[in-house]
Amino acid sequence: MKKKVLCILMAATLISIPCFAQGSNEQNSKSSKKTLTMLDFFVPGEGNTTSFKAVLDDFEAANPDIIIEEETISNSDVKTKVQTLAVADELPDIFCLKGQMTKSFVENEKVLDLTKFLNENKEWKDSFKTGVFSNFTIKDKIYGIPFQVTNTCIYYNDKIMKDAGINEFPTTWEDLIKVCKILRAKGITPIVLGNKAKWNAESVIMSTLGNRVSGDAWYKSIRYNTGAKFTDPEFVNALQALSDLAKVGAFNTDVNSIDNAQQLQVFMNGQAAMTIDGTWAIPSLDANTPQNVLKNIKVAALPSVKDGKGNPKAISGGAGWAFAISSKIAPEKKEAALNFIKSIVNKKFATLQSAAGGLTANLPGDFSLEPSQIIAVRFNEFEKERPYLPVYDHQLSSGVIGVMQSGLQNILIGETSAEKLAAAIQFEYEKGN
Amino acid sequence: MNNKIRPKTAVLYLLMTPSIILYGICCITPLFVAYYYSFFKWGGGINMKFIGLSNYMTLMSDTQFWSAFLNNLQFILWNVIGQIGFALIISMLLTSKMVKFRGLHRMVIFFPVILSAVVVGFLWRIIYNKDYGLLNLFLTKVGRPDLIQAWLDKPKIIIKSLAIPKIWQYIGYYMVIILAGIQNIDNSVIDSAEIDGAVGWKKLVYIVAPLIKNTLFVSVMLCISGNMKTFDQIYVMTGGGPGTSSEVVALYAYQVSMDRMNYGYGSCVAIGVLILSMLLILLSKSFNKKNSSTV
Repeated sequence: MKKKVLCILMAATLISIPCFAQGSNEQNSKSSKKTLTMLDFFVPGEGNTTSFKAVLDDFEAANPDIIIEEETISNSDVKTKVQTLAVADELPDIFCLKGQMTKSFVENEKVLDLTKFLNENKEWKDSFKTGVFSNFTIKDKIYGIPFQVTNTCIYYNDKIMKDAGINEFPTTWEDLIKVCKILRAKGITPIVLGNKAKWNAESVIMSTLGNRVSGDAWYKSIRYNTGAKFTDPEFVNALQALSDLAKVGAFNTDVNSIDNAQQLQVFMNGQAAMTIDGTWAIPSLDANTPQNVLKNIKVAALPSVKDGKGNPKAISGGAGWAFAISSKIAPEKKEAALNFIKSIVNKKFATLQSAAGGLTANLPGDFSLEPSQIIAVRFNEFEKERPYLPVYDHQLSSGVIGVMQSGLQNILIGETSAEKLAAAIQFEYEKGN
Repeated sequence: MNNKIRPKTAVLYLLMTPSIILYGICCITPLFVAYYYSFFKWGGGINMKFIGLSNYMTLMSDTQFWSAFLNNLQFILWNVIGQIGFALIISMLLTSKMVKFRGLHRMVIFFPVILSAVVVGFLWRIIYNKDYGLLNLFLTKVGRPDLIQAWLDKPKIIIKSLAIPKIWQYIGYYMVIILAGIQNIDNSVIDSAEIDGAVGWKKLVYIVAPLIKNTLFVSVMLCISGNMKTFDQIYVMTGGGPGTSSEVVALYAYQVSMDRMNYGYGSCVAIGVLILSMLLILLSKSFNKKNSSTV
């Protein structure tokens, strides 16, 4: 009898616990405040987080009747999560949209058209740099408000290069290969790259290298499907250039098993001569590199390739991420959501972010960089007058990018040839079209 | 069961209902849903186009899928030999007279089974690290620095490198199953065998193995189905890399569905995996029947 009573008591407790949890949620939604749900990647340590938190605090202070329910996950997981929520029709009111997702989200009616709102707020619209909306524009309608611009470049340790007898950073691809041979012969890792997540080689190297060889016309034709092929020499030669570089041992032997964070650690410890990475690394480099290494780090662009049609001064860059509004948002919250985005992507955000060494999609006010932000200062000088090239994974379809990224892992270890990879990418490209 | 203590049939069914409902919702229903979606071309939005068996035709000629399946087969081979092989040997040792602290051994060997696959993946990623990993450090200390390499970067050894954490993690699991099987053997059989002079290896091959044949068969089946589903550790350790040399079918289905947003084809891959797994299990079943019919 006692056992029976105990069992019933335990079962009752187990069942009642989730009921209590439900109760507290219901209480919140009964209040008169508006709640906006948001999904972003502003985790502590991410470049934009401090600036974002500052403007978020401003907004919450100015709008006590709007509650922002924020869900924050890491950058590498956001794409998958947003896509999954989109399929399940459970997107939050405001979320981070990546350029390459825009086309399919628009076709499946998941995001609101923001063109009218932008045109109504002309002053705000004009505060954005030229070209930043291109990744989020489909058929002349804008579907996302970009908030960051990222570029990529080569960071190199001047002291290691000079000690090895290299006094000037190479300006041609052939010279780069020669330099890597010299460094490798001296037992120094020429370029450290952390390509485990597969996006690095494609995003930081291929997008720029591709343009060095192909020029703008070929890429435009690929993007708008007007006849260019990945098997054209414009692209195959770019793959070949990377393959040639990898063959002389330019990259670290564990290139495909360490990730972006580990790559930076190796470079910051002075164990590699160069690393190729994006401007998202600058705040981390400035904050964490030991002083004796930091003062030797300089910035350079990817060298030009012989017979290449691209501008050797250009660097890849673009607005990778934007804020978008779910098309399923409740009509009474729409106004609040639009105003929220306008309040967040404002001058203060741009100024704070630029002062931290990041690049924003909208123009900052006056800001000055501390002399201690050595790399930020150097990059600021470096990027003046340099045109931006589109980043492949901001604009091309996931299928093509997936095949390219896997294939590049193989190119880096010499397991496939430029022609074979080009054919595989072309196959996927034709399948999708 | 003794009729006096057996509960009423209605009560029996009532007690089983929660588990059956949970299993039905979480495992059976998605199976049918995936089967349904596999006949459509669907990018996750409102456009869903019926294309019949077209996805299955594509699957037949998809080289990436079949090379991933080949990787799965290699995993199955290494894991059956490693997991069940080592589990057998350890079980024999634990049931022999010479081992002390049996409880402690069992607990320690079983412990990795309860670790999350992601934790094990990260742990071994650190061990395999070229510059700071324990493995390369160990090789240097024992005087074999020539064997140092990037263990997760060479396509030729990647499958073996990835099989080792799996084997390490699941030896305990099969050890428990096989121990139970061995303890079911009548003691008199073992005693008379030992009197006749069968010890150690001979005992294992000629006396114990034939008697626990059914347990071994169940273990092999579990191993096969587990390795056809394998995903977590590989996703964490290499993500299918370098290139596609450590890609497995579950990972491929995930990439097609989630990365390339091709849910119709992804569902088709999942159903393909189901069909292949069932074929493999039927194959091993017929192999077992053939053997037992000759006994």
